[in-house]
Amino acid sequence: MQSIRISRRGLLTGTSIAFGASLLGGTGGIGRAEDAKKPRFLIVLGANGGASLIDGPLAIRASESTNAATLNTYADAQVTAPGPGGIRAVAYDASKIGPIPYAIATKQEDFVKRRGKDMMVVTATTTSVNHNVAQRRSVTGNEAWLGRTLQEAVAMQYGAGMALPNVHLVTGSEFTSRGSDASLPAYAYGETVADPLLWPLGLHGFRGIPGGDRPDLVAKARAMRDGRLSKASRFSQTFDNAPALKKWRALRGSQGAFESADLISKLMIVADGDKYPLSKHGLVSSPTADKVRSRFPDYQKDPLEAQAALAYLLITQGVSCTVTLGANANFVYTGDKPYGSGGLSDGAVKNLPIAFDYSHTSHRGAQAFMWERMYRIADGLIELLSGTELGGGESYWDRSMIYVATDFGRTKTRPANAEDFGTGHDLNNGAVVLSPLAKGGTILGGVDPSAGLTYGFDLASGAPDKGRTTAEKEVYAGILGAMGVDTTGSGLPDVPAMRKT
Amino acid sequence: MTILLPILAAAAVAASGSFGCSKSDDEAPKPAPSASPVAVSTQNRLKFKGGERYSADLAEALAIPRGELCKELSAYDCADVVHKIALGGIEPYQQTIYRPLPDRSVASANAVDRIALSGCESRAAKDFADGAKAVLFGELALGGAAPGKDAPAAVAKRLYLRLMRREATPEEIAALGDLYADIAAAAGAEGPRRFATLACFAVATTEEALFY
Repeated sequence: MQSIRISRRGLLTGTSIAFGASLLGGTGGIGRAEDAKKPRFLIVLGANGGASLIDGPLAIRASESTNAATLNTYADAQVTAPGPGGIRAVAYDASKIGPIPYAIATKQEDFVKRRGKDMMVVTATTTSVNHNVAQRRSVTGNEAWLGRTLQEAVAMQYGAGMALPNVHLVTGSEFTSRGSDASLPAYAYGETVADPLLWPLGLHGFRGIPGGDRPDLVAKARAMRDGRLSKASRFSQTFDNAPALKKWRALRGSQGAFESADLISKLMIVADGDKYPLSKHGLVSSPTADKVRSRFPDYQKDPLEAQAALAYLLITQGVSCTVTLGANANFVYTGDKPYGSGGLSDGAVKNLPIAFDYSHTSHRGAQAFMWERMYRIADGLIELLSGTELGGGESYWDRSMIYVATDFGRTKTRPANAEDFGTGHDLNNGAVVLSPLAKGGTILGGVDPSAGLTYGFDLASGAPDKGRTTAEKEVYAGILGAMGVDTTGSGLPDVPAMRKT
Repeated sequence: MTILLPILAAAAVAASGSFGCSKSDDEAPKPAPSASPVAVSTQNRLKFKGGERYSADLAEALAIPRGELCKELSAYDCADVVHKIALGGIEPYQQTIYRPLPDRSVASANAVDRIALSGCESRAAKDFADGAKAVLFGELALGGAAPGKDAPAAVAKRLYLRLMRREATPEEIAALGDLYADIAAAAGAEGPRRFATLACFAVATTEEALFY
């Protein structure tokens, strides 16, 4: 695997591709030299709408609860504990999801069995049931460290020499909220990608465009423009000190580095063909695109698969150290039959309307469908990253973390013995973390089977503690700790229970 | 509209020395614009044109239908689809982006270059295909004959009139003349054609063309 590596020395001497703070006016990262050499990678997988842990890794068997009929419990046969540490899995079948005529037969068991050793379930009780507010708090720990997001903190630590350390692949979500710490270098803030399939075209100024077949001549025109025409312009002289122009000039100054790095090729997921006629325009797919497309074959239909495909390329091409993806709120289906003409075909539905929040209409169907979706995407990323060597005998996955961030939980009750019911928002829940860097095969905290409410754990030992709940700030600190981020002076608690020992 | 452009440009030039204040004919002759001192803005309220406005302006200046200005992979509109968000657009329906992104990205700078290069190349192709109907590059599109020595300056003046709605300054004309020589040396017989596209590209992507 060939990766882009930009050395500090190269940046200083101008002999290397120059990215990040050095071009965008930043002040440099806090990462130590050894960190820069061995980055860690944070993948935030946004479970938009409330991924309820008691419909997944903390599912409750009816026989365990004194309130089984009115609590969201499952028949004993539906709940297994295939993973280490007692992590559970739900099997759920239904002929439709609320009013959506789409049959599902989901089974979380395979994923938990396969990935359980890297799976850490962290209970928590959050502070907002407003989607936007809660999503933001899930990545800022409720503004725990000057309002900087997890992604920004990781980008600060490991991203100083990368082209785009922090990339936001999902839109319409506050999981990609910009943090409120304005003191960070520019490279730490997220770069938004609206369309993962066509976005790489914007990483080159002329390749694939008519008239762009002579880079040497384009370079002459650019040099004339920037060196003489703009300087001769009274407009540019008048507004020479305008921040907007200064920023623009810095962006222009980085164009050459992006073009030299050939990111337009290295990050191109799509295959050459009628829909994307790359070769006719002098373009090519990423050298590893075949592998990525085969693991995420629905990438043209399912936005989340496209995001995951690009996430893998961004990480393994050395472009980014943190990426954020997730299901957005759109109903995505292939439309193989007119709606209302009967059941939709297997695989036709890619995403439910309002994602996990469709639980308002059909809790179990929505949770089952969406959990499977999250697990499937995570599984694909883990497989790809595990199979790609970073160096020194380590794979990319060895230094990665997938944080399944969610807004909040769902209300725990149901009409007596109802199988299809709606739920509201509930502060009590937690999160799933997948990583060899975290204490895998572990449930930190637990769930009270009579109430469906999770309880906390001792931050040092990880021992369950029914007398406490875990705060957003503690989850945030634990993730940064496992990621090896230097939090000196932050005031964050130490959470060794979340780190691999 | 095409006929009106020089008139509008002339009006703009008349106003340019005073940023909108008209001047009477009996004022003392003023120095060439480029030699006059420039009052540096203390407000610096500049706005990026954005993809939609920029593309509309460019298409009009180049006399190219807006829909033909730039298509990625010959299929996807550059400003309306592929680079819409990078150029400050919104897309509430599929991507739930309700407000422009707070910051431009490197993709913005590249997107502008791609749109301008595509549009300019398209104009040059049309002009060189039929020099008699040329809009911008008539002095260069001579069916293979060598352009006259004044051709680069004539093209430079027309580029500024159409793209900037003002006359080119002597420095700007000289700079494009130097670009012509440079490209001619590197591109040989293709020089005039290449210069047409790239001179247009250079002017169309100056800061003045992108901000207001």
